[in-house]
Amino acid sequence: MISIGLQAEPSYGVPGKKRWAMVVDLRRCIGCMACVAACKAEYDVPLGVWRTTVQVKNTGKFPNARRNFMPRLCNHCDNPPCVRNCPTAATYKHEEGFVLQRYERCIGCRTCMIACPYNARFMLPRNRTRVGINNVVDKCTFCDHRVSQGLVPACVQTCLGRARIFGDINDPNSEVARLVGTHKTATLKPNKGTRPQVYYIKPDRKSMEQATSAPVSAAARRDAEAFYRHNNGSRFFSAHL
Amino acid sequence: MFEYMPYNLAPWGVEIVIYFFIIGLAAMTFIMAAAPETFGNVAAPFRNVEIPGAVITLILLGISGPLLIADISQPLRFLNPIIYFRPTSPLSWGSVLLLLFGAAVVAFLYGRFFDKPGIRRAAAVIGSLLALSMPIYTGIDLAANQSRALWATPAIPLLFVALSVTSGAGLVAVIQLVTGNFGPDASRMIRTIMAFSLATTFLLVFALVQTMVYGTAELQQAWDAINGEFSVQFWWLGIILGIVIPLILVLVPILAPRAEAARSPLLVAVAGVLGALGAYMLREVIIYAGQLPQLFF
Repeated sequence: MISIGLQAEPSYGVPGKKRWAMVVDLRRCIGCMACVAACKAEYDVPLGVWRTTVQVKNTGKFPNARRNFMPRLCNHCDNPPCVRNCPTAATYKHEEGFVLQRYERCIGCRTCMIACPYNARFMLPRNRTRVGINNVVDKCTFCDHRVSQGLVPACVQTCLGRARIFGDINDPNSEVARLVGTHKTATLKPNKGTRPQVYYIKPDRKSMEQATSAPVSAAARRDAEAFYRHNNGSRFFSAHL
Repeated sequence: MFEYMPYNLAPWGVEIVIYFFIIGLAAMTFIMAAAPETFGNVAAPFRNVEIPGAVITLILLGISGPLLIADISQPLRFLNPIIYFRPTSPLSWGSVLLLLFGAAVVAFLYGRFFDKPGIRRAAAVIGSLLALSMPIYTGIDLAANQSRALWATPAIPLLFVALSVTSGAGLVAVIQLVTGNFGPDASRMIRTIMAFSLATTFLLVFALVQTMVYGTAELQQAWDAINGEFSVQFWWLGIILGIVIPLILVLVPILAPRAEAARSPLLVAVAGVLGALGAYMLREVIIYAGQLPQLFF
């Protein structure tokens, strides 16, 4: 793997290097959405867009039914296609594995959104008042500002079931390394060659598959429509829904 | 409670479709306008489109550049792909090649108007190569995304080249018809070019359809979208009006040399316009349908 520009080489399994990763233990997730709220609060994420979500899917029929929760976020891939495709090097990979965004360089061409297999990226709306970062692409940062201070990401900090676990997967004594080493884990779309670094313990098949139809949630549609109305006039919304 | 997942948006919309179409049109129009300089007497029938062809190319570039800038959400940063050039990004290469192509067209016109044969010839050859890179780079822009199964194939850049040749030949035919210089030699040459490009388009689209029908779940989803939401654009406007009918119009005089009426330059121009319509529609369908399977993941 060649290193070009700000694209750091993959650090997974490289001795002497850190490689931050997250394990999501789906046996423990209760779908409380506290992680989503904590993330929104940490970054003032605008209405209608998310750095992290918890998708809810039902399987079976009463009485043999189950509700499945699937926390989703940027996978901070070891081979991130968004970084390769960004024409301005606004998206780059930190040597410890964070995939980050340089807002002052981003031109809003949305190539990174096209490249991401996980829909982890979004455009910040034009009409944003409290934070001066508008009209550029944004994403989860694994809370690099907190991690560099010895803290864990906000979603991990707040997770009351301890379903989200964060750490250095290159450290064999870390909790994430132990969990990945001793449990059956899965990653999202590993066939895309991105080497995602968010590992799921005991995911449901329906949550891992490519959805073949529009979500049935009326609330999700209302959210989307409200977001489009709020941002009417932005170039972004000329895009095809 | 309910099943919940957020809606995602297809990031590339109509501006990208129009840009891809216009830049392909401009590229092949320039190649044909510069052909007498590049290839010599073989392309002599195109001598009379040298100036109008190059001027129209410049006008099309004048439309496509601002359109591309308007499409990005930070228009004032439009030079960033060149300032922070990234060799792994097709879009970065495209920005540089687009700029160089524009410069080559201006140099060609300068050489033509001020009678500088050296500059004219160099600009024609270099400009033609740069022009060829336009549909190729737009195709690679799509093909580089392994997350979009419909696009992630080397056939897409080839298809875009074929679509560009069809639309460019169509525009040159219209220019010659309007300027009253559409002679039998030019008509025959454009018919031959279009026959090859339309047949290539047909074969590539057929191959794409095969991969979708027998492909992965994502490709099958794209196929469903094409046959549902985009069936009119794909089957009627793209395939029937955009490939089959123009192919018949340009092949009849070749297959039946005695059919005098079929050799009318007007029919070649009509085939060109229909081919250009098909080139636009197929691009639109590929760009939109390629994004849809990803949206609900």
